[in-house]
Amino acid sequence: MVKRRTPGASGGTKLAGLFRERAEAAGAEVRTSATPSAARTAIASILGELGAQTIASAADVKAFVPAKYRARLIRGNKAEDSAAAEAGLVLAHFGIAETGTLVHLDRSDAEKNVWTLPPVCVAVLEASTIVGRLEAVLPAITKHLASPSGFGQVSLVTGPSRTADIENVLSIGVHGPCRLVIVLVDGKNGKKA
Amino acid sequence: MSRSRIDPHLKSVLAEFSRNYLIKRRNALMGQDFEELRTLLAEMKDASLERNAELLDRFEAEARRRGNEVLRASDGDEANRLIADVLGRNGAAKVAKSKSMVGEETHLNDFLSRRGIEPRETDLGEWIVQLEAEAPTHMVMPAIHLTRADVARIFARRLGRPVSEEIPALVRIAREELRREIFTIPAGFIGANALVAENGAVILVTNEGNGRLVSTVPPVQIVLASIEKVVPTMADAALLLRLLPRNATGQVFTSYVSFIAGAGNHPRTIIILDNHRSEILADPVFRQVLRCVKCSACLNVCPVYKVLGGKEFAHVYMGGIGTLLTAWIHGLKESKAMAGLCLGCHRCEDYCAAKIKIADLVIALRERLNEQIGSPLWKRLAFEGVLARPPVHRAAFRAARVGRPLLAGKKGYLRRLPFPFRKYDRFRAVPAPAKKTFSKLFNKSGLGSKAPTGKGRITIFAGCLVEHFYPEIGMDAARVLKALGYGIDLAPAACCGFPSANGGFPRSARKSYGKLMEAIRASETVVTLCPTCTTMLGHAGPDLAGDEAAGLADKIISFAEFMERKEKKGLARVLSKRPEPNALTYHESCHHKYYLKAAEATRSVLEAATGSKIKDMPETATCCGFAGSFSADHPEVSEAILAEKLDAIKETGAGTVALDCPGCLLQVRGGCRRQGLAVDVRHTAQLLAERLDKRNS
Repeated sequence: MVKRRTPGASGGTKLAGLFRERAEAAGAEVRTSATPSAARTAIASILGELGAQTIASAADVKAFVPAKYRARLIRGNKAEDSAAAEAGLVLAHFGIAETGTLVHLDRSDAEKNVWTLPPVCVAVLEASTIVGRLEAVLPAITKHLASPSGFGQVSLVTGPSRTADIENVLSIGVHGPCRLVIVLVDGKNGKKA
Repeated sequence: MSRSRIDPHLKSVLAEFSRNYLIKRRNALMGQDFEELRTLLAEMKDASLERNAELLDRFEAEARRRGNEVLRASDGDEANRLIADVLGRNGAAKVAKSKSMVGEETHLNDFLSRRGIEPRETDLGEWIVQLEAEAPTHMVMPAIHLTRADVARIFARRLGRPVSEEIPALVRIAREELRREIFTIPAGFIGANALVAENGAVILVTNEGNGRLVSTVPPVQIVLASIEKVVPTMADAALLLRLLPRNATGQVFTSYVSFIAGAGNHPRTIIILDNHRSEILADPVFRQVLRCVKCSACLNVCPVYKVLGGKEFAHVYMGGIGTLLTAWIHGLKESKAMAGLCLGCHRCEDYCAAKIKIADLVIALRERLNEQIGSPLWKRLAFEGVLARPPVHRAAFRAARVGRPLLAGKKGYLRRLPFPFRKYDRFRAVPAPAKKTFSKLFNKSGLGSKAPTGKGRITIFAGCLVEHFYPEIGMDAARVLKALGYGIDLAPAACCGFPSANGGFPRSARKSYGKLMEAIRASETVVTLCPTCTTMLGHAGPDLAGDEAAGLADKIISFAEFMERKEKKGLARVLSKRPEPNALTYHESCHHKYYLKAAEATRSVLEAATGSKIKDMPETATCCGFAGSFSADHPEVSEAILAEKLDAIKETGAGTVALDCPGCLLQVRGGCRRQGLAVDVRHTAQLLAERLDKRNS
């Protein structure tokens, strides 16, 4: 069978390190914060750098919104609004270390809009939710897709939007975000999705 | 074929694309066992195809349970009509499309345009070719044939203003233009990389994010997928996702993978298209074509695709796999020209994510083409009238030898051909038949002594090119075997049947092989000097002959493999180790490398005999462009492929090229002569024989 990476005692840290390496290889920027409050500070500084006046976001990232930006949040119900925001602020439900991938269990089109339409996507990922391989999050994905009453969609996001359609030269940001900034939160006291 | 079919710019773009692809793919597969993964994928797809109808029913039921509408279309027209109906029902005069090869297959855009509905491609490459009113030329990179200057020109025309040729600026235009439209387009259309039966999920694998926009923003949603996309479970889908991006673009993962099971806030219609795939499914030989996951790896490594691109080597689908799909989906007739463009090098089979025997299947397709569409008279004459009849075959070469003084110019090459035939020898000097055949030289030499030996007897099967053009290779092989202590017999000098089999004439091939089969029945070991003959005697022939050939395949072994497996120590004893004066490089002949998997055996034998490392040329395992009758059917393509091979040889600076196939020897040596390269091109047997100690030879 396929070789399996077995996380050892320090598996969590190792996975976070591998995640970071692979996410960066895919073009994402990764900032590490020790605690949720440090993460809020980091997010505030990212949004500050962007001069963000409007930030598209979903409910699940609430715990990580810096106080200063609470009033500037909008939901992505209208796609145009998300597209007009300077940034999207989102929470990833899992990380996949071997590919540097963020997993989001979508609950509405609005959430997908928030992830996709703003020019910069700031995604919070709690290190405790990082797994080694896609196969390890399949049960959670499958469960989310299973419910006939739920929204039943899942997004795997790895790096910013990219294309090589002109002369096979890699270009970033063709239709989705031009930047994907991942705020990796080490501490365990963050609110889980 | 006219010379203009080769676009030099496109050729250089594709060559670089292929080089980069191989590097990226190797990195992306690091830590993965490709062979194991693709074996699992092929098994999973086979098992899914076995239960295709049941899985589609399950998918349909699960997708409906989640609020989707599921419709079936038996052919492309029906699919197009259903799509137009959904759009019409919702009053949509425009539809935003994500890339879909199945949509290309049904000519959906033409259909919608004729009905007054505007299809708007959103994938950058697809949009570019749409604006240029062209078809995609690659399944993953639709606009690979266009330069940044072309794209700037196309965008300038669209926008009515001059446009920078910088790629980031062009990409920005694509973003802005789609953003301007997407919020007002009422309907979105996507293809699917997989359908998951257990939960009705559609899986979409993309990089640009247009697939996400198109499948989220517009209120009306349409999915078009072909029947073979259905897999049983999410675990099966995960296996596909592990291999697809790595093999397709050399990415560990693509930017976006979407699982879409629930209809969400919008009604979603999923159309499942058959379009003759049930016929492929029912065909035991060709069924494996439906394993294809459209990764395009086969195109990226195809020497012919690299030269011609996906305008020339395509109908809608491209390359070898495209030839097979075309034969069913768009009709046997449409696949005929494409089937003639496969070299039969089998390189694609080493890269296929689903282990599809693409080249073997193209040969099987040629057989059907010959039966149902017909074949050129000259091929029927050559294969059925000459090659399958040893006396006629021998008489033809005897006549050529009689005429030799008239035909031959300097150094054993034919004189330059007159005008209408110049394209056949412009790029490669063609050898004249040898003065004496290998059989004749051998029989006169005493090498065939029947005196008992300590080691038993070996039968040499030399093949036509050694027999009639390169008898010295046969003599060298015999001398090495003799020095090692074997008694030597010769198999009859007759065609092995490969050219007929390859051309799709299995009856003639069976006839040729059958005669040889009887002749070698009593031999213990048959050593061959041509990998193509080895493929025929060891694989294709026994397959054609069935039980009658039981046990015969095991006797066949190529010269290099025999030496590596049986005589490494023996060679060390009889050879004087000596490097080539100006370094040695090695060309891996296609059948030797991809069919017999024997290239490493040659390397090991040559490195031992020369006591030095082989200096590798770039893409050593890419075809030289000979491929038998291919170089007569498509001399310009053969010329272009050879040119790359000669450049690779020059890059090493080596003075000697080793190879195992007399066909490659004809092509590469003839090419070196035309280019005036001071490079010695030698068969492995020759390089060994040159190192025989005097007392042994």
